[in-house]
Amino acid sequence: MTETCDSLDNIIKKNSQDKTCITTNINIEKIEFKNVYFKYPKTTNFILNNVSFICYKGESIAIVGENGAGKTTLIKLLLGLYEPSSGQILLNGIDISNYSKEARAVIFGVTFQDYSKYSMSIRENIMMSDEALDENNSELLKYLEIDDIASKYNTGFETILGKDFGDSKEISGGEWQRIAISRAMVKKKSIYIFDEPTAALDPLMEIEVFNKIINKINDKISFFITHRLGFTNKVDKILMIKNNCLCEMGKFEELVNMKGEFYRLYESQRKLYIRGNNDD
Amino acid sequence: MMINDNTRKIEEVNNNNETIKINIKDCLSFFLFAFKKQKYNIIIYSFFLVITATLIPIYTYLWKEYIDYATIDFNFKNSIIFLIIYIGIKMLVEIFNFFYLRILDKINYTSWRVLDRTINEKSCNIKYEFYEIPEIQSKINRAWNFSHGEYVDLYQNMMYMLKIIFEIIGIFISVFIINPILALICIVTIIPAFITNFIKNKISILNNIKLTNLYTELNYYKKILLNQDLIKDIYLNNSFTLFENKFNNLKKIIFNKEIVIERKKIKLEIIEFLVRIFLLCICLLLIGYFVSIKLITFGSLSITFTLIATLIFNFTEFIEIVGLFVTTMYSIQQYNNLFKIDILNDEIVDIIDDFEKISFSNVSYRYPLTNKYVIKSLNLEIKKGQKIAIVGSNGSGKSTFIKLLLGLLSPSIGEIYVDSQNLKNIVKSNYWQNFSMVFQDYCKYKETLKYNVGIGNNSKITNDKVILKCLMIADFMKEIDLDTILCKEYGGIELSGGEWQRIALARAICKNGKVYILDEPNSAIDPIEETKFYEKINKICKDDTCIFVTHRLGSVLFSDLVIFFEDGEIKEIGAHADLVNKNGAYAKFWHCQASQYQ
Repeated sequence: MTETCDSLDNIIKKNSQDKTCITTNINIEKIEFKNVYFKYPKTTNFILNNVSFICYKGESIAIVGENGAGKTTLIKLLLGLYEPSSGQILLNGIDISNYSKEARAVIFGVTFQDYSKYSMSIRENIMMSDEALDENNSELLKYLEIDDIASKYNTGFETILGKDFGDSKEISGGEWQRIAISRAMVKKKSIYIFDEPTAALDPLMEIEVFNKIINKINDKISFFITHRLGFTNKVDKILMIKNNCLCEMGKFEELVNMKGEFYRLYESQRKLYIRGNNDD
Repeated sequence: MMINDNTRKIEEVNNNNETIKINIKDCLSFFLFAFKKQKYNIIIYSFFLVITATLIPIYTYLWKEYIDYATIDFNFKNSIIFLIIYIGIKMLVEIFNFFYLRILDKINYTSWRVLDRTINEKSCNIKYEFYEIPEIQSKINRAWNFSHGEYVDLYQNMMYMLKIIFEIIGIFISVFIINPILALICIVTIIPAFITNFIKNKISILNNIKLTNLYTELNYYKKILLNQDLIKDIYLNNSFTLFENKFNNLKKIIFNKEIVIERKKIKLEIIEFLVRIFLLCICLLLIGYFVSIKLITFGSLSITFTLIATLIFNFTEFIEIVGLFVTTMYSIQQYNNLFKIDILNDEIVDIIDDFEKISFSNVSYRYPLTNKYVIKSLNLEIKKGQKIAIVGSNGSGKSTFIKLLLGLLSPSIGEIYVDSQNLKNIVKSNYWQNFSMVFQDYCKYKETLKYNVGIGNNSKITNDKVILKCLMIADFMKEIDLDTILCKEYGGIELSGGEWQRIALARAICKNGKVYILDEPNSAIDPIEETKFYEKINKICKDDTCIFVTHRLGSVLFSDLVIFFEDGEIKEIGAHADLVNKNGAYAKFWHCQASQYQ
């Protein structure tokens, strides 16, 4: 965490010094990682080794790999929470450090696995600002069935959630997860990032929510970190990370045919289901 | 609407405590309780107080004599003798004061410890089920806040108040000895201070009660703004302004309310000041008159002034502390209410070491203060050695089922039997010895590796060999010392999700239970880990019972019985293959996930 703080500080300082930082009209057409290396300060092991890839508007990308392979670090680098030890991350051909903090908040919509639950109203939990819900939003909220949660209470979207105050209502993990997803999606962003967005949902709801997310943002760039490899055949590109390197990249069919690391990972999950079906 | 079943008992316990009535007797008995725990200290303390109080008339008298001898008929020898004795006694008072402060510290520390321990004991003894009622949790929180906040000051002040009372008595006695009329004058001068302080305190108390909720909210936002874990989130959502605005708005509201109160108080103080000056003037004239008609001596005059000043000061303090006590009476009452919660410990005596089966007989369960049964008429028998997978959609009652099985919740209707004994009569700590559990949100203690594994088995002293063996069985490969702290903050190292998973498993193995319970243990691990994990589990609990809750249906292959929950009922039960062939709700679930892999 201290690293995060340090780098946050650095970024904030840098931005306040940097006069050429970009703040408005951001529509990201292209993301490029150019030979990115990363290690934590005062350590010797690289968490990411020479990662390079390009993706364009309209693509959805799954990042898969074993625990501790460096998936989350990759996302944090993209978000500018960490700075690469060497190499460049370019958005629209411009280095990420040239984007201001505000600009990044406009570009990225993120749901982390450990999303925050605030003891505030449903509306504030979604909007994360004082803004009211308008028509554009309510469409999304209906889509993600958030209005079902709100309609359970008399106070609707103004219902205070959580357990910190006397009048607040505690909702289930699945409901919190949907609110966290809508938090990332409620405002128009250029890049969406979901870190295990459906971990708390049962299989039926999981597929439904996953499909809904993917359909809604198919004209943007979206990243999914997931352990549930069944979903990866729905995305345009898979980044397979192993031992801190980007070892395979490509479409689902390509990677399966390649019979490499991704295939090994996928098979290990698939064989259970195949075995289960063969029992029939 | 109240439903008449076993859960109702719990609701009733909660209901009794809903309204908080301030009862002075209760509040005072709270102090007596803390007193009783340290009789010895209190006796010494009171001894000091009595001594210091009795010394007041003595040195007052000495001072008066000294002045009289020095002014009226000048007697050098006598006046010097009185002065020396006076100084001697004053020094004695200071020495006593030193001991008094030391004993006060000791009393404070002891009482604080006593309070913390009682809260801890109480919260451990409250049935788990009570924690499903948010009110109980907040009661405990409030008790904690009280013991670490208001209480620390309060106890000290109460002890200080005792001192003041003794002092006031001492002063009155000494004034009375000098001249009874002077005692009357003393009372007159302190009346305005008494009244204004009383009103002032009343205003603050009412105000404090009104502002409590606002302060709770203010503290919540303060916590958010200072929470390091939220920095990432706040940064990415650009939500700093939202929290800052909320915080500032609340602060503004509170400030505005407080300033109104402060203005009222200042007005009162000015009035009080004027009245006091007026009264003092009259007293001065009166005392001057007394001196001139030789009713009192010059020495008495000078000592009366000092005494009146001390008296006013003491009275002001006294009233402030009384005010503080009244403000905290509300908190004391809440604290008392925590202890009034009937923990409903029935006659639990049965001991169980090993069992062949656990059977649910017509069990229904609803959470306290709700009307909906989340488990409905469940009949089930779990036999020793079975491998059971529990599957179902969110909110279908899976977790509730596990909690019922563990005896954390007790059925609203129906009974659970362990062999032939009723679960409710079995000593829980003894029952839990039989279980090894891995939950999704297992605790990651910021402690050594040894501690993190050994915590699973706190009844026996675990040696390094046992722990290493557990880690080996759990496939913990990382070569680190057992004394490595598993937290970067404290100078240790950080582990990945998969490694923590293995530690959680090692912890369960270390506990060596006969029934393994795994509640979604695999949501944070990658597919290869996951398969390995279940293979491992299968090996570990070869003959033991194993019950696991999962959303990843691939893992059901490691079970010999699948229980599919829907809406609190067992919709389908059987072996995986049978259920798939049956083509019912479970099959739909299965195909939904399996189809992604074809």
